Amino acid sequence: MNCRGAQRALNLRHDGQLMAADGEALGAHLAICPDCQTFAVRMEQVGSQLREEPVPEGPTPEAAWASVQRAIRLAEDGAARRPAWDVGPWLRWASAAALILVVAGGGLLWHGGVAPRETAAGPLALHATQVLRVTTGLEGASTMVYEDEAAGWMVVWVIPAEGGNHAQM
Amino acid sequence: MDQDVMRWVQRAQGGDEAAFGELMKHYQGRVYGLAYGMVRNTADAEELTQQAWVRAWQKLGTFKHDAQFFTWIYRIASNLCLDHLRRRQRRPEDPLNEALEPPTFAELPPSPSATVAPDEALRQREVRDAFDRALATLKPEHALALRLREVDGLSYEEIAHATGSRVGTVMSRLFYARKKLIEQMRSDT
Repeated sequence: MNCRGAQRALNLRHDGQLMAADGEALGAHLAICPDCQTFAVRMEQVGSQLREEPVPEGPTPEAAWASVQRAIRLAEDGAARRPAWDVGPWLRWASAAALILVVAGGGLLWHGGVAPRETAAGPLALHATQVLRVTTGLEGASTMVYEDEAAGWMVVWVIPAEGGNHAQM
Repeated sequence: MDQDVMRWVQRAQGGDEAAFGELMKHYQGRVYGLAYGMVRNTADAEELTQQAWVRAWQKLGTFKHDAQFFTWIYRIASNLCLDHLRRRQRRPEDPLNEALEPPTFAELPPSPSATVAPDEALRQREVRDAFDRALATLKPEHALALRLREVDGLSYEEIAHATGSRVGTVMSRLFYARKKLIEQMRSDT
């Protein structure tokens, strides 16, 4: 067993997952390797440091539950007050996609049928996992859609390629 | 206690808010501890813990009884903490972002160092600070796995469930987290 293998074995031994046969090989390596002996000691120290880390006292369970109840009410009231036209995220996404298609089609007409191409990443990826980049007919332009989590708005950006202003819808 | 938890979950899934309250009070300390350990800021930890419980209430119908409730709520809280840390990394210049600052002494509970000699307390404080600096260099996913293993005592399988990862990924994260901490502390001292 070399040092790299010994360190991996120490990691498993620390978690009680090391097989007996590997334990023997590890023991033989540790007997002749001061570096891995030190590594073993420090691994134990890392665990104890984490476990002894002081955690500031949080709210009492009763106070926390009262806050959660208020937040649940707020969330439910917000959902109940949602206007009739605001029919949920799926239709909002679908509407946004339809809007993009219209923009893309308009762009194609405007530029006399320029072939669409993949666009560069937009600059305003507030929620990376929710960003949808699409192809537009505006040559070099990029279109970006995201849902503003705080405001609940669907935001569509069309960004011209050559230093033009951002258009927000 | 597991029986109580199962009963609370079943009642809460039927719409019993009081039963959900019992669940929340039972696990509140652990979820808050996880959040604080990740974001290192009491106000953010409280906010994230609250968000986790609101989301749990909203998604309770999706909880399946083949999993343990605490790994399920840990998963919700972990995801919120990781999202929070990613947002914080994207705007480190935010003047309101005080989360990287260590807590003040007033925020911390009495530690063993409060009962030892001043020079020993200082030494312990230096070791603690070096450890905190090393901890801050870990990838959030690695720090999370390490915390779930060392502090919460979760098994590899439970960590995998709580983080939505494979067991092999958990083992790898634990190894690299520990290795990096050891190397960082060696270079820091």
